[in-house]
Amino acid sequence: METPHADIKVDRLAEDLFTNHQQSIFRHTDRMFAVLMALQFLGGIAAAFWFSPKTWFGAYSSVHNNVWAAIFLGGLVSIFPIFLALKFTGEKSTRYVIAVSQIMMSSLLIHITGGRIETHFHLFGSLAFLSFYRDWRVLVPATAIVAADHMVRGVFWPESVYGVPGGQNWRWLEHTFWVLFENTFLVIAIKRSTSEMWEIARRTSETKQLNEGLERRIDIRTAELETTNQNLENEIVGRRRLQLEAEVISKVIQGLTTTDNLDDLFAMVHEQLGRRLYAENCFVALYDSETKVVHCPFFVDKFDAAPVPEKLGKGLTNYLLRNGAAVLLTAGDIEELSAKGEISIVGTIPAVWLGVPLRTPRGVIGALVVQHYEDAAIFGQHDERFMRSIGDQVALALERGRAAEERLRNENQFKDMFDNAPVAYHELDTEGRYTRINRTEELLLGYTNDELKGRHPWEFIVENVSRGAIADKLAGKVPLRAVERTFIRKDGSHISVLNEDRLIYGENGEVTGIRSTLQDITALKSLEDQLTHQALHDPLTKLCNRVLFSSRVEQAISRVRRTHLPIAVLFLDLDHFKSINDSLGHAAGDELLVSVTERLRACLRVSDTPARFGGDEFAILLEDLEHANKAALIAERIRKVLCAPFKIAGTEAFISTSIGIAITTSGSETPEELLRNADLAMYRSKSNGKNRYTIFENEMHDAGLSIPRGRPIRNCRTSPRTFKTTTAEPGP
Amino acid sequence: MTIEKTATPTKAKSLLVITGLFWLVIIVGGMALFMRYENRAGFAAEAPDGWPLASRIQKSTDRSTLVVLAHPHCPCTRATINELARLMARVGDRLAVYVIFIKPAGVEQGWEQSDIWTSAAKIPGVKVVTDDQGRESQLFGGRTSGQSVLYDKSGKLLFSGGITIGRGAEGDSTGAAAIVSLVMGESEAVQATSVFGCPLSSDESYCDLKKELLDGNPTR
Repeated sequence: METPHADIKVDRLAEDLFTNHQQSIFRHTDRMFAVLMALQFLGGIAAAFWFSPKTWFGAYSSVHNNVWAAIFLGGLVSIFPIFLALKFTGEKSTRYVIAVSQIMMSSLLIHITGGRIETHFHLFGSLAFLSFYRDWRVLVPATAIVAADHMVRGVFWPESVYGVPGGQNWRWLEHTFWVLFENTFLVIAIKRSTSEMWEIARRTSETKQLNEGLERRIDIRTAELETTNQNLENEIVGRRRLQLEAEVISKVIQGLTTTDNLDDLFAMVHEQLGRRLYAENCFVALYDSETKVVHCPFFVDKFDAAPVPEKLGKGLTNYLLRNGAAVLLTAGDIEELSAKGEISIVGTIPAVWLGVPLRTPRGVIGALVVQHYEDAAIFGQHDERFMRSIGDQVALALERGRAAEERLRNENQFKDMFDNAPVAYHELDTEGRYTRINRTEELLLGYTNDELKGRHPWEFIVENVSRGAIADKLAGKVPLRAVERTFIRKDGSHISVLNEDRLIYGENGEVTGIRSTLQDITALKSLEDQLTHQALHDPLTKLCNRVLFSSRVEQAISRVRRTHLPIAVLFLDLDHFKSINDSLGHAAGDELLVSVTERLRACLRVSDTPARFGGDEFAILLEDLEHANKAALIAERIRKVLCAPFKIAGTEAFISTSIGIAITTSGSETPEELLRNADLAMYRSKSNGKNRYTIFENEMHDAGLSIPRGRPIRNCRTSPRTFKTTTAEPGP
Repeated sequence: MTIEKTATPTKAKSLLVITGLFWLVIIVGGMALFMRYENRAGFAAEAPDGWPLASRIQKSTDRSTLVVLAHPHCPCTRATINELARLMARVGDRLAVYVIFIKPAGVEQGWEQSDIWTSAAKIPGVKVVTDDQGRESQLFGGRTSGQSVLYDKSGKLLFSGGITIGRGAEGDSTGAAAIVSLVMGESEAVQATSVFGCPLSSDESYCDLKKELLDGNPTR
């Protein structure tokens, strides 16, 4: 539903359209009548010449009055309306004059042609033509002229109208009636036509409104589309520029990563730069922060030559380096800065100068510059951003180069340190293979670096080290700690080392291998063994000491629990040792103890463990006894062997031994209990006359025997031997 | 394209109005003069009351005789001949009709045999006669082309005048109606009407005609 405002607008537009249409009709019809009148004028003359060219007086003739009437009267009737039709086209007065004139012409033609019916049709046709104006008012003067003509002629020349002289005054209406009759239909037609014109105007107005609205929407949409299109074009241009920039930057990056030579690097950068922007005048300046010198390893320019290296001064490049920020300056900006004293103009002043810093984590190390000497608008913000990207990549490449040099330097230093470190180093890869060993390790193992490369350490380790162990280390499943290893040298000898591993990490934090140090601890190990041996053995006799013996007894008791094979502990005390020691000296005493030890060893099996508890006390662990009596047999053998004379310090010495035997078949005793039982049994032997063995019985605990020591040594042959049923008597 | 109504300055409008009025007056005056000319009758005939015995035309003894005097080249006479044809269609069987075409002295042979002559000759029952030097026209007293005189069978003048309503104007006319009524016996009075046509003889001076036109007083 249209709003009232829209309705008013439509009505106004319709009115304008109708008026314009109407005016157009008026104008066209005026011009039509102008032509028609001219044709009628000529036609009238032609008709006059055709129908009544001459009037006669007997044999004589002259031009008929009709001809003069056609020419002059006809011309007069036509000229004014033609003038109006051409000069005042569309005016109301024009068409009224035309209406009058047209009827006058009809009348003239009728009379010229002698009232022919065709010229009467001209009258009715003229009315129809006048209706072309679609203005019924035009018919009024025309009809009035007809009526007046008939009325006047009816009055003055009635016979010409009615055919008879005289006539009723009202009869002129008869002739006027037909005109009115035709007018009725013409007016109806005009009304209808006008109504249709209104309708057309209104519909056109509505359509125009719709079209205008549509056009407005189209215009808006077109504008939007144009804007969108422009934006898209801008975006496309921008993307193409970005694409080119990305391509150039990619090429630069690719070139920078594959080019080591600086000259080639800068030339490549310049070439790629030129694809994106004007780079006919381009240079790279590098700044040494230590020497404060700026030099240009790359310089191309139309006018200026490459500057010599100089200290950081006040040129544009130096201005950029001092400020550390990108600079885009026109000639005016440069002159302004020069006027302020911030820069000194060096070389030809460019129309525009664009420079970006080469920035690294260490700071600004240089500048990348392009300039143009004529067009100040050739570089813009987009170019500055692009240059910064390129500058960053160049800086990165330079820094990478510097870092690579430093890394190489460090690597060489490291290699030197690695190779010459006092500690053996080797590195393994993730498969546990040797990748590198240093010189120290080469010497340690006797292999060269090349001989070990690709091999696994466990090939040279005595201990059982599996591939899985190294894998676990690499995976971090086991803690890395120093461990002792025994390596087999190339010559087959063994060395003990302290192997300490550290994981090697790559740039991304991933484990890339193991770095190990081998510290030769062979001597240390030997010393340790010695100390351990010394800690667990009697230094004189090299037999186990009490600590080690107790440990062995404990282990043997554990085995008894499993095997249920008896074991026995023999406790031996040498009889008369003190007297020999006192008489012959401690050295002789030691010699005697050593000899006793030798004889003991000769009596024992491999599985037996002799020990010296100190002084003249010995203990023996007998394992793998088939039966308990075997312990007594061994004890007896020992007794007899020790009764044989010893040659000590050039003298024969005679001793005997008192032996106590503690046997366990269940393994329920502790080592201390077993030892104590054997000791108790030994004391029983002592108390029973020495030079005998006694097998422990539980009643000995009850008796609480404790025979003090320090009794004088006796010769074992003279000592009486007594045996109880539980004490084994020495044999003959 | 929007066509704007033209706005005529007031001064020009006034000038146009004055010019228009002047123009209107001129053409109305011109039309009036033209009407006057169109409706000005020619010189009336002085027809004898009785059939002129000197005429070479034989009057009919059993019917009325109508004589139409015509100038062979007068354009107005075409209307007379056409009216005659209509008349003949109505009462032609009761009339003996002669159309006498004047042939002045000195004209070439066949001068009188114009298209009007041909048209008249084609009318059934009409005899066309050449009137050398206008003798017959003078006998019947005709002065204007289109003059028609009707005599009854006894030779008595019944009608003298024209049978058109104006110069070259066809249509119902008093003259034709009079002839019809006389022929039909509906009327016996002698009737006369105006004649519209060219002078039959150059003796009817142009000066008189001009004088008439200027004075407005017909000499007939």
